[in-house]
Amino acid sequence: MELILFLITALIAIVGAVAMLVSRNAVHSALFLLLNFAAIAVLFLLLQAPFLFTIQLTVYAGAIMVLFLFVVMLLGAEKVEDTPDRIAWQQPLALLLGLALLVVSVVVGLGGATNPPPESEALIQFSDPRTLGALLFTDYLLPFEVTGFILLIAVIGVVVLNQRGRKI
Amino acid sequence: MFQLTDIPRLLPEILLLVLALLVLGSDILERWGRTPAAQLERVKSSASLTAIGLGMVLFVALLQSGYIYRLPETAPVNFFTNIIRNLQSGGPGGEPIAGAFATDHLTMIARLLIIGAALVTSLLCLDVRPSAHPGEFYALIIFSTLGMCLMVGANEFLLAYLAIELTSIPLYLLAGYFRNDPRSAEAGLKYFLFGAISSAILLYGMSLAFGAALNGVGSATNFNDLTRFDRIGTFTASSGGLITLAMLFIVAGMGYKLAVVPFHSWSPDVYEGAPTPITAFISTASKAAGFILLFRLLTKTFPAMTGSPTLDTAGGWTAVLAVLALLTVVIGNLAALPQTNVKRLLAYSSIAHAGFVVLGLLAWAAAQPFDREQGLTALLYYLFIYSLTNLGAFGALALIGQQTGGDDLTHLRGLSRRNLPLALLFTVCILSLAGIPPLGGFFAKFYIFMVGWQSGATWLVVIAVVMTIVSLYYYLRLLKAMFIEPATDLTPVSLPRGIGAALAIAVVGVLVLGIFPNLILSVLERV
Repeated sequence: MELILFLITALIAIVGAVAMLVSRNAVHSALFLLLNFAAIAVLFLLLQAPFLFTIQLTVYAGAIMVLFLFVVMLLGAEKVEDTPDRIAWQQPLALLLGLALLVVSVVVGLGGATNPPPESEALIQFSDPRTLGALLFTDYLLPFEVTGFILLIAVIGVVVLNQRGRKI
Repeated sequence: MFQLTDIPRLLPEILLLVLALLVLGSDILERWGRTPAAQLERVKSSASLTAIGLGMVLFVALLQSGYIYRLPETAPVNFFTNIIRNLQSGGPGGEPIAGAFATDHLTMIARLLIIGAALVTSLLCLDVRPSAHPGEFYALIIFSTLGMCLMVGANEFLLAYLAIELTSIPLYLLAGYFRNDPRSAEAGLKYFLFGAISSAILLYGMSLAFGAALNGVGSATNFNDLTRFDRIGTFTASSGGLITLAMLFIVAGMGYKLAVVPFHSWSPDVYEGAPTPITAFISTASKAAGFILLFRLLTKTFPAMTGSPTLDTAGGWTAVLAVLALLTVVIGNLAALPQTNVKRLLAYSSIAHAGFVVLGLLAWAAAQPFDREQGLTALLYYLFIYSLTNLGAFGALALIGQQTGGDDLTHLRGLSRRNLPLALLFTVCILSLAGIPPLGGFFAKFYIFMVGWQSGATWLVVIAVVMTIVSLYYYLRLLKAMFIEPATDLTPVSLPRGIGAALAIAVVGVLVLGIFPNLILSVLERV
């Protein structure tokens, strides 16, 4: 049962990702990305991480996607102009190499996991929001603080890149 | 667990953060005017605050490391000795902070290198005018330095990844800072796109390594610390394919950041388009930090898959790196030959130099611990000399580009008649890059070839030596343009104090460390 559910969700996630890449309309791309995010959220649920599931839905599928759609619609950038690729042989070659990497990764990955996954109780404790919060403020305090600086830099970056074109 | 007593050990990072916020905030208090004089004043005040602040942080870090002066145990107790004692108690040694940030000799030395490079960069920037927002321009340089300092000490996947982002995001912004110049905008965008993709690849590798470690743990209940390099190393010692895949992804992801062939295609465009002092910073400090992080990642996370660089059946990451080094040295040097833009030429030259640095990593495959330590010492020495030299070369180029209006080979023509001291300083840097004795570049190359030979990659060392000789051609072309070719216009080029000081630091460093390498090797050997 769980395997079937996983396969269906994984298929939806992959279809969403591929459709996002190939669709020519930016709004369609954003909606396919939404589909992909939702499928990933379900995958988190299957991995017994309800907290991540909620975060994925509210932050990614909710906030970020709405922002994307807003920007696309405000700019009126739905249509992507079709520009011919100047290096024609690049795309098939990239597809071929990507597929080769995918096959190798899948073969290696399937053979890699030799032990059964940890007991589900340990997993539930691992993904508990309380444990996560405690870890963020004790063991992972340093990375947590660094995330704050990165967000500050993102804000600075927006200001800097919006500069009007005047020279000093 | 983070302890309050860990704060002195993080002092240089904390000071950098305070300095960045100070630079950011002090810009608000400046006189904002539309006249060029008022705007110039704003730039000057931000720039000098940055340079002075970085100098002070460098001094604190140097005092803390205890390499220049170590307070004796028997020193009398008074105000000053107490300050020094407290500072030095956060010196090298001890367990990693919260398991995430190691403060060993490697971190201390790399920190000095990075803050020093940032200081020289800020000196170069004293005479560069960002088109708007000067406070942010300098603050971003300091934020990036902070990221690099965290990168060299990172002992854990999360911190390593976040430190890379903290380093890269300011650099993307800085590379595209001159929005009105299409080449700068292109450089920023290109750097950002390649950086994002390489981060994704790196994260893929990290998650695979985590998965492999989780698989090795089995039914143990506590897996909260499985992101630490050494813990992953213990649990994945026996697992086969998955961890190999993780290693390949991590090497590829870091390879992009270090611009190693075949992951180099972004770097000439970015180096050419970015403001020249920023190019100097990207090509030295961020590369040095990346190499040290790569060293930690590979030696601690994948100790069981070191393999051998001789390309026999042993495989391992040294074999992967040996192939990358071969490609990098050959393609980097050959691609530099036809370049006519000096910035692009130096970009390809720094790609080639990255190939030489990889030789130092290969030494980890040697059987004797002595040879491995030699490898790390050679690597650090090379990074020091290379950083000094490249900062000098790009610094001189920044000035030339600013005053002659371009950085093609034709703009270098007759520089010796336009400003002889500048031409001489530039020449020393170029000769050191080419590896001419008695400059630092010669001994660095010699040392790294020696450890490469010891590690068993003899074929690679032979090719690297041949390529060094090839590289002489394009380095000497620069000298020919400066000294022999007639000048098209003879207006003298002035040498402002900031850039002059930076060039002097670089040239004196290259000369002194080249003639007396023991000055620095005795410190580097403590790693």
